[in-house]
Amino acid sequence: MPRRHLLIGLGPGAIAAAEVIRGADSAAEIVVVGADPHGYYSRPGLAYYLANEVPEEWLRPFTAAEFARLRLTIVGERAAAIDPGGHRVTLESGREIGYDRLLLATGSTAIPTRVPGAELDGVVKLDDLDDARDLIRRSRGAKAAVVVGGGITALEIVEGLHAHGVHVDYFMRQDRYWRNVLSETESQVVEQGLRDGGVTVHNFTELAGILGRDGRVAGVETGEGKRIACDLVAVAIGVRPRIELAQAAGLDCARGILVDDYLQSSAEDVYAAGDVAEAANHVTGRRTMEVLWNSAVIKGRTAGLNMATEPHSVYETGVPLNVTRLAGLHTTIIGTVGSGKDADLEGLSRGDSDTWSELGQAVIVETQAAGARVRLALGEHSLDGAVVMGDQALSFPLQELIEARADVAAIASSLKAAGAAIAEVVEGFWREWREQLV
Amino acid sequence: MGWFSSDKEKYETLASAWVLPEPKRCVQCGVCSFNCPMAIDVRRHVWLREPVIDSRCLTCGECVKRCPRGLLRFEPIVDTTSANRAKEAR
Repeated sequence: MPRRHLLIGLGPGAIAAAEVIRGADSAAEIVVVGADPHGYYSRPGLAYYLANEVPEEWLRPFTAAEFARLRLTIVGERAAAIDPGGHRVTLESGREIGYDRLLLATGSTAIPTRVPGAELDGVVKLDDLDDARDLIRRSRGAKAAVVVGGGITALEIVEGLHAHGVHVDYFMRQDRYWRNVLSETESQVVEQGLRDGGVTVHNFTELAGILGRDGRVAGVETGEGKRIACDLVAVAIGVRPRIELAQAAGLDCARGILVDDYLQSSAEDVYAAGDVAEAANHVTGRRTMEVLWNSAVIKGRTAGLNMATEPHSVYETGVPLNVTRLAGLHTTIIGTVGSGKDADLEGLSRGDSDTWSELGQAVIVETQAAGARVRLALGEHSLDGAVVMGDQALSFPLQELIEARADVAAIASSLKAAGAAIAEVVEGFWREWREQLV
Repeated sequence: MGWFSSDKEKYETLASAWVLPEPKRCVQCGVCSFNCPMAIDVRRHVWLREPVIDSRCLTCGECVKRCPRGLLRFEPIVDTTSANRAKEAR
């Protein structure tokens, strides 16, 4: 009997797992359950769709032929319950599907605001393709919007609405943007970029309530009682992993579904991948949540291999990396670069990693030269992390050095010296280091 | 944006380079494929962790220029380091 793999989810974790399973077992039956009517598409690509850089039809990574080659049975329904003992899943329609191996790749969902007026028509988010369509549709008739929240998604919405001619007031609860990842200077650069682009940035501003007229958004009230008229209120205060199915089935969960080194949950033959899987970082030992596309893909591939063969393949947490645009400025974040909490977020935001804000005793060195702002977190022997804003030439060398935990002791004092030519020192060191690898 | 420090470097690179992706940075947004004038599915190459080796490729640089995450770059084919990296990526 061929093994039946049941995958719940239609995101990169599930699709990457399906590819690996098919590659390892041509006879396997692969059933994918997911309720998103749009199927598999690039969720991070929604930012570029919103900014008019790519049409909607190009957001789908796989052609019909590529999907056909995987020979998946796709069930367009929501899973309602898991019975790990009986090895079966019940769908909302009441249909039951048995499995030999189960993958939970249910992703995460935007946390809604709880302020008064949150139910009004015109309170929007950017969580899926329907949301992006809704934002574009609503921006055609809107003049002004208020955006609250933090991290990458908040700025994607700010810039997307701005690209559609909507004036944006952006509220932040504290003194600066993304304070647990960016430095004070980096936050200021981003905020100034927003202001230069015509966005009104409000620091120390709380959204106290959303004001309505005839059931629609008409404005907001701040914590200090100031009223601002607007047509839309966009909320990006973080995401929550969808763990309800796993919790109801009795699987061990914390923030996500707890998995072992092989991405197997506390239930036999049940695996988890993507945003929802809470795995231990194999270097630090700390349980880590990540809402990153590449991490979801790697988890999916690892889980898929363990499901198709035997659970021998260890999930190795890579150094988290993301490339984004903040106020139009290309920004790469690698490794550990910040600390603390961001009051604008109630959880991780999309494109975020716990690891970024776990900075310990690292020495921070910064430089601004030749169109790039570079910040390095210098550990005892290696680079713990880096942020590169603007010109990205140095981001590739830094990525390689950080991922390889290259011993940078030889350049540590040069990097720490006052007025150091940090970019040149790093690039020179990287070239030599790379030559030695060949 | 200036990817090349001189015209000479530019033409040499275009004549003897392939487009090499850094797959870890890719989110499969499709901007590269959408902008390819030769309808090469650049994104698929990145997903498969392969250099963009396609007889239709003009090395025009549209995908390199348009990628919002800067993960595509030109690498000379003759460079053994690149060849090794490409091999590893596969």
